[in-house]
Order: sequence, then structure tokens, then C-alpha cells
Amino acid sequence: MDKKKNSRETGQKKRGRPAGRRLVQLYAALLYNANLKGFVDGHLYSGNLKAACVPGLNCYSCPGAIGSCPLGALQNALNAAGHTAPWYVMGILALFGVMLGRTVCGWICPMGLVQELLHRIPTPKIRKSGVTRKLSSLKYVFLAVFVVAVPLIWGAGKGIILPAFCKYICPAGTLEGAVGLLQSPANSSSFGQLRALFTGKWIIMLGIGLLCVFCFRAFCRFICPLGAIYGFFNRFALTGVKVNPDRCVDCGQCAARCPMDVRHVGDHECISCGKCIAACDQGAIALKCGRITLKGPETGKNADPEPALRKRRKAGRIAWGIALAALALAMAWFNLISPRMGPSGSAVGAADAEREADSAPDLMTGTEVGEQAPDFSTELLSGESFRLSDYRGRVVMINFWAVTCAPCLEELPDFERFGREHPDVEILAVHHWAGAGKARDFLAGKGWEHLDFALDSREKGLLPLLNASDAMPQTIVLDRQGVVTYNAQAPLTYDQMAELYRSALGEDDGRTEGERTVMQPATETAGQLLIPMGGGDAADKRTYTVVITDQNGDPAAGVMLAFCTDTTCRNSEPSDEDGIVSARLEPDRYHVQVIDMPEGFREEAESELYIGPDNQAAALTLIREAGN
Amino acid sequence: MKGRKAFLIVQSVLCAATAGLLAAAALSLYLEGTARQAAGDLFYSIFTPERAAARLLPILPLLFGSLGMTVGGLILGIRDENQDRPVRDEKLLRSLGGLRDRAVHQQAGPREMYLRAAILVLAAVLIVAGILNGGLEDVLAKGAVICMECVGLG
Repeated sequence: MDKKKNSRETGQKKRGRPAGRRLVQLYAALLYNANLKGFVDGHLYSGNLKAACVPGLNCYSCPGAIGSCPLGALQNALNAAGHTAPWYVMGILALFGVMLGRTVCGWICPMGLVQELLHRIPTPKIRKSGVTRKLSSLKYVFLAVFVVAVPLIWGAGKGIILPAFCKYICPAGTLEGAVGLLQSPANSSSFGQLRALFTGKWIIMLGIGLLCVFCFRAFCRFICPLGAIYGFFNRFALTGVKVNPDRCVDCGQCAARCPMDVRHVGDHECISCGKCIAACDQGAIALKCGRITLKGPETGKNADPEPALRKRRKAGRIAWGIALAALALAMAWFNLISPRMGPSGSAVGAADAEREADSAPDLMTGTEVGEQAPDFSTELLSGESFRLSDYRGRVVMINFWAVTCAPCLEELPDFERFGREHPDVEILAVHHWAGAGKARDFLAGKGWEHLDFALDSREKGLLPLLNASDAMPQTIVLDRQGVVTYNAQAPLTYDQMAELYRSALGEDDGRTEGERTVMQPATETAGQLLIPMGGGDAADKRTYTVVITDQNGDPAAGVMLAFCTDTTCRNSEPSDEDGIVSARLEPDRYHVQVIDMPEGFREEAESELYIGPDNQAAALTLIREAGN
Repeated sequence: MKGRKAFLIVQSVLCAATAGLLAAAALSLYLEGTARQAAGDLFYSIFTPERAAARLLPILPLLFGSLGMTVGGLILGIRDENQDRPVRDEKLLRSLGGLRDRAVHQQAGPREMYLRAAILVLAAVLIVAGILNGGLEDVLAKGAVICMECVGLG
């Protein structure tokens, strides 16, 4: 009896038996992320279902996600409000809001589950107080500033894509998106793109996670703008915890025992977790969907009658049966049946593309660095036809972009400038199949004449053929013989384009196949053109020294070299005041290339320098131009 | 009782230390990498799987220690029992008067019913209008591609 009372007072479930709500949370998290194979192959699900939003906060860049995040979609829609009114996402949010309110947060939000699991870690807990109640207003600030104002002002006003909450704060994006993608070896090349943004978001995610350990649902209570939106609908939502005023004695136990910052049952902070149902001695509170009771008082003086409880339990079992069958179907569909619309799947049609390697039959055809790129033809936006093999003898850059991708739009003007200043380079910009109509509108007024644009198609696209990932932007650089010298998913700056161009040219300067230096990453990390020196100082390494002077024998400081084998290149530090560059490297024969030199110097036209175990010291002469 | 309190405090320290070290590992990698890039390595990768693994390795004992204590705590039923007791903040409790009248009632009034119906109709109209004006395609276009800035990659 005492045990029963204690359990009732604390609102705890029997130990070892998960609460029904926890099972529903787990179910929702699994259903939202039913594309489990995405975690293995590292690719997103990109079928039509992605056009629908799920009710909870679940990043659409999570490899498992089968639907879009309503918060991300709202920011994207507000960003595009200048040309498309955001009716669809607003309608979806209103629908979820009026049907479920913040029951979404309490029952079917994966982030809610994560927060509650973190809170289960046994530590001293921060309880709700006047301070936490004040802090709970913060989420409205996040909603107003990061979700509404910034995307609207930057998007509609300045034409810049900036989903500010996703970009700067959202821990779901870091946890589900970044960590979810990076844990797959298929995305190891994406490590190359991690910079300040990731570092900041990683620290924010850890901070929020730590806060959730000590403070119940800290993100949900203080930060989450989606909860703030659903909170507006809570008062008249069809589903939620509701009070029977005939039974309520106004004792205040419901609010006093609630872990959220509620003022009363069902207010904008209430997530309908149902803890108050067990806390109410009067049996005055129930979780309702319209007139149907989903969870009501099961003990105490006003407990629901036994026949009603039996009926509810039976209905619950039937609902669970249907739900589990639906989950099994979804799992089977997304993981076993549905064709993959991506690089390595069966949906690779590429009717307009042909795989052939006519100019270098000794090289493998593919898009890895050092491989011969497969030939293909495609129709350009201008109406002309583009065939890759027509551009043999020229450096070709193939850029994959999407109109919804902010880094893509930032680098396109640089590509245009690079194309204008380097007429010998062919630049093909291929837009992802999704949002092709928007891409046409975007390009209409740009007047970019030095880029060839193509819109990819879903069924017979270039993306699967050229092994482009779901991450945009991606750039592939081909040398004059069509061999891939660079392939990475990362935005490029103008300087990087110039460096890639020089590298691609350097491979085709008359050297024989054996002397050719293929820029290839040391690990699977594609996109790392040159490998910096360091990373251990094994005893079997040797010190190679190059003394750099001008034609008069005076030392040349600040010159950077790359020591290249047939497969990799390693960057040196700049030469010192004595013109000396020292490098500790594995014993091998290296072709030394100048990759950076001070102004006023130029290389000798015929200078070729090799250094190896038999000649560990060598000299390099640069030409100091007159007046320097 | 004292043992339980000590357990909770040690677990807190472990959690905070783990999170702090994970943050410090990322920050130090970033600072080191930016310094290399500033020195002229345009394509220097700040984070690589190898570098990340090397930084995370020393933190693993702390992480596993914390996980072990969590499992132990859950099995032994060690938890801060204050979290289950009603709140005792007097100021907060004073603000909780008149709950019966302010709470959402099981029997929705006519005002709530009309508002609910109106929002449902409005939502349906907005969704249809959104599908017609290309909003659906926009959501698909964003969802089908990895949002680099959302996940912190771009």
C-alpha cells in the first residue's frame, strides 16, 4: 500500500518498465528516421516524402530522415518569401498546432527524447523556479530573431540564404545531421569542410546537452522555437491534457509537480507529458483528443471505471499493433524496397551519359582523384549540347550546386570571375534535380556568361554518374586529359580555384606518365589537394633540404614547396632567411614543385627538381626580376 | 545518504569534464588548423577522422566512466529525489492561484470550438495555396540536399 502511495506521489513508473510515453517517443524517433540504411551508406533519403514535414524537431539532413523538419522548412520558406509566399509551411504548422499543440514536444519529438534520456543521468537536478520561468520566455526571442527576422531580412531583403537558427544554434542539426553523416566512412571527405561553424555548433551542442543533464528539457523550455510556435496553439489544440473543473479543487499540485514552467494545466508551456494526471488526487486531469480519453486517472477516488479502462487498454493495444505494422512497413520500404536516388544506387539511369575512357585507357574510369572521368553529354540551359570529351585539352571544372544551398550561391560569382579571367578553362555548373524551376528564376537576371549551366534530371542525371554526394557544393577538376585532379564537397574561394587550376595544368606539361604527379589525398579524405607535413616523426624518415637562391646566388625567403610522389604531395613551410627548406619525409623520390613564392620572383622555364634518398640536399634557382 | 550525494556529485563532475574536454578538443583542433591555413596551406583540412580520433581517444575513459556510473546509478536507483517532490518556491507557488478557472477544460467552450475549426480551415487553405505556389517543391528541394550550413559543415 505504502509502495503504491509512494509511487503515486512521485509519479514514477515501476522500475525496469519503460513508460508508455517513452515508447511512443522512441517509436516517433524511429519512424521519422526510418531510412536506417542512410546511416550506413551516408546518403540522405531524397524521395517525394521529403516534401512533407514531420511534426517534431528532426533535422532533414539526418541520413535517416524521411521527412523535413518544420522549423528548417519555415526558415527556408521565410528566406524565399521575396518570391514565394510561405503558405505551405505555415499551413503545416497550423495543422500540427491545432491538432496536437505541444503534445508534439512531449510525445513525438526526437529531441525531447534525447533531452529526457540525458536528464536520466543521475546528478543533482536544477528544479524549476522563478528564474527558469523567466528563462522560458527566451525561446520566443529565438523564434522572433533567428527563425523569423534574420531569414526574412537576409532572404527577402538581401537575397542571402540564412536559416539562422539551423546555422548557428540547432543542436539537432549537429547531432543528427553532422554526426549522423560524418560517422559514415562514405562521408569522410566532409571532414575537410569542418571549420569555425562546426566548432561553434559542436560547443553549443555540448553546452545544451550538459544543461539538459541537470535541468529537465532545458532546450525545449528555454530555446526551442518550434515549441514556442506550438505553444501558441496549446489553449485550443484538439489533443492535450485537460482539466475537469467539476472535480478540480484548485490544490495546485498539478502545477507544483510539473517539471515544465507551466502556470496551469494546458498553458503554452505544457507539453502534455501527463505527469499531472498521476499527481492529481482528485482524478480531475486527463489526456484527451477531442472527446476521446487517451490517458486518464486510473487510481484514486475519481478513477475511470474499470470497463472504460479495459476498453481504453484494448484500443491502445490495437493502436500499437497498427503503429508497429506501419513502422515495419516503413522500415522495409525505405531500407529494402525503395530505389536509391543517388550515386551508387540502382536508379542510376544516365541515359545521356556514356562511360568511356578513350584517351587514357590505362587509367580506371571514375571520379576519384587520379581516375579518368567518365565521358557524358548533357543539355545546357542555353539549349546547346555539352559533351565532356569535346573539352579534351582544356582544364574542366564541374561544379554541383543547388539554389537552396547558401555556400553554393556564395562561390558561383567566384566561378564566373574565374571563368572570365581564364578563358581556357571550361566550367560546367550542374544544378541538383530538386528545385530546378527556382534555379532558372535565380539565373535569369545574373548575366553570367562564362559558366555553362545544366539542370540535372532525377531519372537520368549527372549526379549519380559523377559520384556527387547529397552535399552541395561539390567540385570536380579535370586536367587536360580528363583525369580527375580534385573532387571534394566544399565551397571554394577564388584563390583555391586558381591553385586547383595550376595543379591541373601542371599535370599535363609534357612529362611522361611515370613522372606525372597526381594530386591525391593521403587518406580517403578527398578534397585535400596537398598534404601538410607533420603528423608524427617516425625514425625511418629522412631530412631533405632544398636551398633556394636567385640567379645571383642570394637566398630567397618565403618560398613554399610541395614534395610530390606519384600519389601524394606534401606542403613545406616557407623557406627561411637563408633560403632553406627542410622537410622530414619517408625515403622516396620526390618531385619538388614551387607552390608559393614572394612577389618579384618567377620560376625558370625549364626547372625540374627531383630529390630522393640518394640526393637528400638540392638547390633551386629562381629568377629575381629587375627592380626587386 | 552521504554516499548517494557523493555519487551524484562525482557524476556531475564527470559529465561536465567530458563535455568540457570534448569542446576543448574541437577548439584546439580548430585553432591549430587555422594557424596552418594562415601560414599558407590553402587546402589544409582542420578536421580529419584521424586527428579527431587522436583528440577523442584520451577523453574516452572519462566518457565510459560517466556511462558506467549512469548505468550503475540507474540499476541501484540512485537519483536526486528532490526532482520528484512538489516545487517549494514560495514566490512561484503564489503565482499559481485560480488554476481551475485558467486551466484548459475537458469540455471545450464554443469559443475554442470555433477557433479550432477556423484554424483547421485556414491550415487547409494555406496548404493548398502553398502547393499551388511551389512551396511544396521548395521544401523538397531543401530536404533532398544536405543543408551544409544547418549541420555546421558549410
